[in-house]
Amino acid sequence: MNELLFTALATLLGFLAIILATVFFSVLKAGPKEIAYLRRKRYGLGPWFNGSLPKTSRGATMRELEGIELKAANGRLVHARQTRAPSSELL
Amino acid sequence: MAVDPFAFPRSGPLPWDDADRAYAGWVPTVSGHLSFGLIDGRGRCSALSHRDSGTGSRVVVALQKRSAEDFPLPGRVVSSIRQSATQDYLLLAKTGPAVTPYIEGAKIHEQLEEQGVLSGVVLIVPPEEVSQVRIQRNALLDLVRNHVEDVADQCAINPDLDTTTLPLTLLQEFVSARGTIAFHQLKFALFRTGECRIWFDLSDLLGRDISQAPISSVEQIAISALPSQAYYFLKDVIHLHYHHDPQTDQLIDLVATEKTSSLDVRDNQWRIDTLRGLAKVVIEYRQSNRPDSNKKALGLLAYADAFQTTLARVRRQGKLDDPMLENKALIPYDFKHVRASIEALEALNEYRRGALLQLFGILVGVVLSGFALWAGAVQIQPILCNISAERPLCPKVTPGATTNIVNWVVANPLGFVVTLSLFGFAAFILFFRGVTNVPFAKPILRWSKQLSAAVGTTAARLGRGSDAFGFVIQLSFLGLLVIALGLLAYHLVPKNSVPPVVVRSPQASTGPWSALDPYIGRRPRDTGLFTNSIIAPELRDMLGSDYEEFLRLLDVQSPLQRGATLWVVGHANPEARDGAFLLIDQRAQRLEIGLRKHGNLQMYRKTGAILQKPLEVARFIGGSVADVGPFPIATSSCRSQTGGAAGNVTHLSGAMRGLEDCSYRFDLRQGQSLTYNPKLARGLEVYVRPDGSPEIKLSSRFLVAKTGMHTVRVAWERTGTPQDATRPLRPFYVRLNTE
Repeated sequence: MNELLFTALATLLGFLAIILATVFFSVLKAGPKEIAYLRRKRYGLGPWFNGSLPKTSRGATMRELEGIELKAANGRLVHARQTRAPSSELL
Repeated sequence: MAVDPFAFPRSGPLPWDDADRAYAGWVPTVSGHLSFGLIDGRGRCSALSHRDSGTGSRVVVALQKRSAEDFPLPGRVVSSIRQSATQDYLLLAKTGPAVTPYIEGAKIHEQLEEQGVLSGVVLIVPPEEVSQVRIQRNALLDLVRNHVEDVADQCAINPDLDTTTLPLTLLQEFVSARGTIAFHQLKFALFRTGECRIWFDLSDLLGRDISQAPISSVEQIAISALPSQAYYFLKDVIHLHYHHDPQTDQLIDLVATEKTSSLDVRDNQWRIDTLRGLAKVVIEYRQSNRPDSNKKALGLLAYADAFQTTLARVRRQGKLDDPMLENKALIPYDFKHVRASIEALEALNEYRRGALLQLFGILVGVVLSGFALWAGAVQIQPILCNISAERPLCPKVTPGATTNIVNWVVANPLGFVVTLSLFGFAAFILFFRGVTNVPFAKPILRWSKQLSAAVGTTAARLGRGSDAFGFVIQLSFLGLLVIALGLLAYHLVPKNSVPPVVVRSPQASTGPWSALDPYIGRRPRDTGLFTNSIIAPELRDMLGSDYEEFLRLLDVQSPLQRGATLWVVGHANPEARDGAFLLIDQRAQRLEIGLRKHGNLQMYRKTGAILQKPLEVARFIGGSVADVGPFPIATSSCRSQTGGAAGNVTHLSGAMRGLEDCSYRFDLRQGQSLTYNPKLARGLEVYVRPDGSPEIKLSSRFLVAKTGMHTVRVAWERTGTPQDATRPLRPFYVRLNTE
């Protein structure tokens, strides 16, 4: 029974590895221009973690998502932050 | 008489014209007519949409919890740590009369629709960090939720229920809590054509008199960001996202209608911006090489065309009762040709995909057929060789990769299934050009791509702006993830190690015991030679109760090695003299085992000739005079054991059938003598043969004439009749004295 479970788990992990391999090859194919673009936009681990990609375009776009953080204290707004991240629409 | 805040005026100035902020956008409708009865198609809200049987007006209420999805984890998960990421949105609205424009024969027409507009308010309720207030806030939202669901349940039973006061009742609940519970209020009007207007006064939005204190930076962020969030909420509730991810809300932007510009510009610009945005998104989809992008582009094109057909071609004047005019500032798009181009592109992609699929099918067919034909040929080959008149020998098959793969598949069925699954998955991705059709793949793609890009960009910034360095780091990061996952998968798969097939040694047997060849060069403990191999059952039979002792005595063991026979020798521990050895004759399928315990050697051997011992085994035996030992009754056996105070007595025993005999080797010096008592060995004959000399029958004493090895053979007396061969297995015993 354990062998079957491990086999299923190994298959899933293998699929995951293949999916990530496709990301690897798509990045390889695109070259360093995406890094250059994101560096200029001041993207990085911090903005990725916090969802704080700077606004880089006006008008309609499918390349970014945006949301908002709000917090109130005693009925008064005390925190507001526009969140933004690259969209996965064209992945 | 109080003014109904949910009633949209039939005439007079545009209600959003006097507001502090006003915005316009489009809630997509491909038919040009939104249905206000289809609310919350995805069932993510507590929602009510009920048409009053008296007035015909529809009441719409929807309460939804919405989270920002811009974090590495889903918004709902993030909000459990970071409460500010999730807010509650409440829509309170009623339908009312409004003029709906339409174009027929290139001419603008208008028709007053009794339920032509859905107007009301959107309340955005942020999370509260003060626990006492938070309890009140959550209680108020629970009250609204329960109220909405109760009314929805009642409406299901009683369609004539009067719900027209529900939006106002719920709004008043919030207004009465203002000052205690924070919420932001925006007004909106949504017309049948999808035209969406959002407006507010700053004091309504911020929930305070703005003349009392200047607007803070936090409030400025709310003022700029909340209209879009209210618009996304409206789109989510009213319309289903067929042609894009639900999270990608910015395909159509909300446009601020600036008060400073003229009315013409104000009412034209949002229409032009919306149309341009739609056209831009269509082109972005067309340029993407994702397999479903062209179809998405066609879907969005239908919406862009619908917008261009009516809403983009009209504009409002300063009052609601003024007729709509033609929007002459708009340069229309030629969507007909764009559609033709996308359809041609899609057809081309379909053709390529079809060709790839055929190639895939052919390759799979050829490979599988190749294996099947090969398997058939392997089965047929011996038959063809044998039916030939000349009986030619079958050509020798040299072991190689194919035989190794076949052995591996036989020994590793689960590993084989995993390998095939991964090949199939990789082929699917290759031939369908992407993994986005795979369920659950997209979040993984999004997560890994964004994380790796973040890692690469951070590295590029730390590397003083070297994009190439960041690129290498991004690739390395992804590569490591792939390798780590692959290794983890490999370690999880149940495996049986299969040694490579080697060309058979000329010394090796061709019989069934040739299966022992792969064990050569490896320690029996690692290969299961004593426990799982073809000789294991026989080993147990021969050793009987001494089997466990044999394993113990071979705790420190040599690899299985090939000499005249296969052999392995070992000891109980590195310092011990006690130990054991095993000789295997593959051709004759015979075993010979020696156990040395407390200096005494016991030998186990099948009947027949003694196996030739390699030097290592001869060293192990050392000065022992006898080399054979006890057997189970069911098997013919020859056994010997030394005894006596000076070690000069050898007990020869075992079990033999009529024509069988047992041979023993003795190293004797000149002048020594061998004696035995024939009376104690009735029915037995004992022979002695010095090396290089003929065999002599031992009467009772044999004097050694020359130092050297001597073979002592014990056999049953024979009568020369056929009964000799049919005599059953009987035990025997001879006591030999060496003096």
